[in-house]
Amino acid sequence: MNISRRVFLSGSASLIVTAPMLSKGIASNLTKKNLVVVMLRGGMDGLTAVPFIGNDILTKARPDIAVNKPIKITSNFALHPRLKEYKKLWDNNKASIFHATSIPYTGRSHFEGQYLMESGGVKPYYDKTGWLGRALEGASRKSLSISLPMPLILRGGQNLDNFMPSRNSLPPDETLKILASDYKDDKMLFNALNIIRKRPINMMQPKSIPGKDVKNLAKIAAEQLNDINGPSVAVFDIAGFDTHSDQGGDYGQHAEKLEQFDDIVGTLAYEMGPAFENTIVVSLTEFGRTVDQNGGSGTEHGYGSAILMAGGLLPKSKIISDWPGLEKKDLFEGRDLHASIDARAVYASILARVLDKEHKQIVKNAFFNANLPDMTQRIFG
Amino acid sequence: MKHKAFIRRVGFGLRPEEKIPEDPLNWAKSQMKSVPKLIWPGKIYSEKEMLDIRVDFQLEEDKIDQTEKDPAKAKLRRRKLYHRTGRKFFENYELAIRHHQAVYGNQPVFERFWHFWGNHFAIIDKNKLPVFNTGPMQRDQLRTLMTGKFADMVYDMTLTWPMIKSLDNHKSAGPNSETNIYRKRKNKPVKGLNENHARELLELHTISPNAGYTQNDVINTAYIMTGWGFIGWKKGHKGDLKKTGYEHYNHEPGTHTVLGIKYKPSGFSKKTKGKKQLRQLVNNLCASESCRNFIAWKLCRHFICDNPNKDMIKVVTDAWVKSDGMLIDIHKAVLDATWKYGSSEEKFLSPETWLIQVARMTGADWPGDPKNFDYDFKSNLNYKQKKISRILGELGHLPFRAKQPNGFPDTAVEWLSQEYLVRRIALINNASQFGLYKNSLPFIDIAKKLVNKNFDDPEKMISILNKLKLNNTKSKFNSIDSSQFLISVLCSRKVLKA
Repeated sequence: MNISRRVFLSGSASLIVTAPMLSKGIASNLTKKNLVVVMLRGGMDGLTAVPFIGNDILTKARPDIAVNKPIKITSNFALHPRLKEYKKLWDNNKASIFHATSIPYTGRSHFEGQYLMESGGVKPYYDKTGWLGRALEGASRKSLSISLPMPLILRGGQNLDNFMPSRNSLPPDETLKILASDYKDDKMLFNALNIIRKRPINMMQPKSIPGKDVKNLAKIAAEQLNDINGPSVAVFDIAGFDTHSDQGGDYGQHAEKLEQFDDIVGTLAYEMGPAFENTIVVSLTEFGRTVDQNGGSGTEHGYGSAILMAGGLLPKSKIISDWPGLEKKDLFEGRDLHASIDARAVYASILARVLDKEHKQIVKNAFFNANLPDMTQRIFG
Repeated sequence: MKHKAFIRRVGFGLRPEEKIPEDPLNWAKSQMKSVPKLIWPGKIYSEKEMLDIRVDFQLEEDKIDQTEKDPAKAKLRRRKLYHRTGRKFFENYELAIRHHQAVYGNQPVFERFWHFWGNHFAIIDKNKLPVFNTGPMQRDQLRTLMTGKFADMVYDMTLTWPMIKSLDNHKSAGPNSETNIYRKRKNKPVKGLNENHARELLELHTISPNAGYTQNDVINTAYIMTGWGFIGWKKGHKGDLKKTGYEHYNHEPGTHTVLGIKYKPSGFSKKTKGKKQLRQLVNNLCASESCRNFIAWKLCRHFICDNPNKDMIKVVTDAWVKSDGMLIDIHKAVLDATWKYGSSEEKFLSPETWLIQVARMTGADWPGDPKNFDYDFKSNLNYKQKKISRILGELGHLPFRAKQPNGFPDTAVEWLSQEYLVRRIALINNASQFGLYKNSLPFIDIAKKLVNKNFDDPEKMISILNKLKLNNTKSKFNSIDSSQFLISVLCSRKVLKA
């Protein structure tokens, strides 16, 4: 018989170092503020997720891939029809969109862009830690990434773990102890193993592999975020937004990817219940996509995109933007939606709110003292 | 480097019955001279055969989607189609060929380089390419290019079927191409330029952003690449075209400038005027210092350490210059540099490389008897047929399924997370999954044997093994209890970091 991770734990309960479990009803997890970052790799098209409907420039520029049935949310903007759960949150004053924004990177390379969206710096492959990790340093909070790798965005922080459900079982702790003594001179291995040994029970149980079902992953995250002793920061990682061909409009590749984001947000809102009131979910991508469609009914790498936010920490639903316009003259290099606000300013203000820290302090810790305006009023006012 | 550490660093370690080479550096270098034959005893499907199967599959699936209204019947027809075309089978089969070669072949160092280049020219997980095309392309084309010139490898890889399909170049057309002039005249929407492939040719395959190219260079590279795609379309044709090649009517005419170099049309026939521009561009890119430095850095990072220094890289770039970009010499120089500088460095192995080392050093029955992979194209896969992709998936490293065209990462900080580590330990904890069964040699003996064969200073590890005690005394049956012997060795720092 295989010893499951659960058996291993009940057999050596002493290694659980977290405080005694409080019953969820009594636990004051309403005071625990949560941040969920959903990384959308490949270049999320802000103009597909939240199309501008104030004029017909977009539909003309994209004869094959314009969103035909947008859900109107303001006089100028609409939501993609697959963002159904997100729309419900919008209707309940729990969703806001920051439009025409980007990290300060215009090089149009995915890999440089993704590096910078996570590092928070301006030089690709240079900083070895991530903005979220640095912001959390000394904040005595736990973070959990729902991914196999530990993403750059969290590196440099403390109390980091990452998780994906797995079917195999770990050996008893005595065996892990042998490894721990073998790893003692190797900081990375030693730390990783130590965190594994201290994992809560529900992360130790073998689980069936959910495949591509992000709803299952969001459920796991919700369960952990709802635990008063659990993490208060979670990171998701979705790839596949790089639609150079057959991007689709209402349906198709980009739509399916947006639906995955919608599934995560919707599942978190439902599963977290009251704790969602103290939560904010934000999207993050390396760049937007060109206004015009290209040769393959897709779009090329662009610049400005949108940040989708959701959660009870938002006071009301609104579009926040210094909208640069879609006329040719308004576009970056004549092809891309411009970014009128550095996306890092948005993340800095969100971090300040979630971590109860001064904006200045966050900008210093997380964003190398970059010149980032305080967006607190615009987002939370 | 120490002898045995070197053999693990550049190869997959030694099998229990294998002799320890006296001169490891020459042992490794001599493996670079020729392309080893695939030793897989079963049928090997050519890339062309696999394309036929792919097209057959796609046409039939489309037909079911379009014509079968009854969902239950559609499901049944689809299952039959999956069986008949090996939709679930072929990726496992391809992985089995690859792992059989790595575990039992006698040029393991060559295989390591093959895996490296497969990841360098990564084909993303899209359009069922991992199922039917990526593996066959790697063994029919990439593998055979490894003893030639780097520039030839880049050129040929740029024009492989899966590369074009995954990076969309077949959908690209120049703004002033015949296609678009015709379309404008007929008031049809123009066929736009697709920059995807052009950008990756520069960024990932040759010179890297360090070369300092601009968006304008990317666009001009894309112009040069227009026309290259799938050819042979005739009226009434359905499904993917199977041939790659050049069609002048999509090509952007005229001279295009990339990084200050002008690429002019050549000859008089309009059908071939623009055809040579790509070859010239690739030659120039590959002859540049940026390209040498980038590729040499990447190779050193793979074999020596995560942050190779200038001295290491110089060994490779010097060989590159001297041989004018011959891969045999470049590969040998990488081995020289590893031999010279590798001892003071550690290299965390990727999950797949580690798994192959585990199999090779323990003598496990991996990936299993080739006869297990005799498939009848009528039924669901059995456990033995699908375990290879299941285990690689569990470890997070299905080599034909890179999510992005930069392939899988190659540094400890990317591969060493809690969850990745959990999966390695848990796999060894369930040793029967990778072919070490209850009735094989006692695990303690396997562990000691592999330590003596593969560690330069085995004493310390042997003494750790000697101290381990079984809780369950029925140890001769290799109970779960005795997997601690394997875990202590196979998940030790020394094995994880060759």
